[in-house]
Amino acid sequence: MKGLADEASAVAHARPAKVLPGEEGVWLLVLGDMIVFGFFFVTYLYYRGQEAELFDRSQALLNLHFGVINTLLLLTSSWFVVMGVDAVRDGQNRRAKALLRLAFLCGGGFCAIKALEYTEAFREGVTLVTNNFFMFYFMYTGIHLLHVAIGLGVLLFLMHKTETAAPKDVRVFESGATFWHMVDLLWIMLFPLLYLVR
Amino acid sequence: MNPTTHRLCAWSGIPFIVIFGVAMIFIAHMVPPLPPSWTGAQVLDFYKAHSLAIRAGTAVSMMGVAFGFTWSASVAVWTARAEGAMPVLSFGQLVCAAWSFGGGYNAIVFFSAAAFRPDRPEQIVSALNDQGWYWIVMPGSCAELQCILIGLAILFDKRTDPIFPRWVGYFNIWAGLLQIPGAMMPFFKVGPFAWNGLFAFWMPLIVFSLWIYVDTWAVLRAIRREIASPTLVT
Repeated sequence: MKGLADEASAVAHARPAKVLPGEEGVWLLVLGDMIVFGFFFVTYLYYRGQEAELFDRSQALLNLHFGVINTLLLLTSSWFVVMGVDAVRDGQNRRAKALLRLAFLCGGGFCAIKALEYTEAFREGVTLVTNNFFMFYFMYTGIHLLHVAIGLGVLLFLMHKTETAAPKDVRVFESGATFWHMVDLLWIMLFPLLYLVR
Repeated sequence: MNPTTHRLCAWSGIPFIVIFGVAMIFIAHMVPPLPPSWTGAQVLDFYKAHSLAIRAGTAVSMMGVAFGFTWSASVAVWTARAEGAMPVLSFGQLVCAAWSFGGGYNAIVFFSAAAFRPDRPEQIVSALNDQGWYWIVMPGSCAELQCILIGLAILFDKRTDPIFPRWVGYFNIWAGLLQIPGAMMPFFKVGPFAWNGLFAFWMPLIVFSLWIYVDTWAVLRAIRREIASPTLVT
């Protein structure tokens, strides 16, 4: 049995080094979304240029701790997903499921922190109509949060898939992981833009 | 399967875009959108100046919008084939279509009613105008779900040779995600998320049009393939 698994893993690992992970189609979705977020960033910087002083003052009201914790949570979850995909490739599906569950928990933690952060802002009387900075802050983080929610759905789907998947089915895991890494990457770009750029 | 009726319904996405677009842009002068920051007096002036043109433009675009429904039916029939015996995603898609394209229909009714009696007080005309723009932008949530359900139906197709190319499924999900920002338009009178803004109006508009072209192409391809090697019992 062990030998079989090793053989399967050897086959899976024998792929040429420069193969696009996941399906081509998922990269269309990822690149399309990155272009849109690119527009988001440029628009933000344009508005920031108009009211730099107001943006700086508003930015100072954000709780940087929440932003940093969330960055770490998403980075960690991406790491778990990478190990999870590797585990599927090695035929260790139970390990893969456990790793994906940890990634899911990190993603859930991200949502919880975001809810806490929004609540704190609302309690201080800050909302998305307060000024242009908070319009961008709430809209961009909200749209990103929706991506996180969809990504969590994808992780649940992958956990379910570990029940039946064989190492040759690793492609669907790579596709799902690609989406999750995009969600992570978008946050890595949003975080400095909203919390740090002065 | 009758290839002619299927082709007609698939192609009906194009008259939707052309008639609706031409009538709203060139006859009714409603694009670019009236800024939500306008005062009631400014809105009233606009409707007074273009009263006849708006009524003519809305009457023509009415004919175009109806094609959105036949087009949605043609996509749903083919995703239903991809789904199999109990095509729940395709049914959901059709109900969403009634509201996403129906939103355009309702908007036209309000624009036309506002232009019908421009001798009314400015509050009434501007309230009708607000309703029209609400109906254009807010039903983006239904368009969003319609796109995503099409995408999921395509991606869950387990055939070795699927009805639709899989990238079309991912494209539909992407197009759906882009309809989201419009839902927040009630909070803004200026800026990119207002009803005339880049992310609430222009981007969803461009993606929506692109979406109709791509899905039309994909349905026509499916029809062509079905004719070339029939798999249906007729």
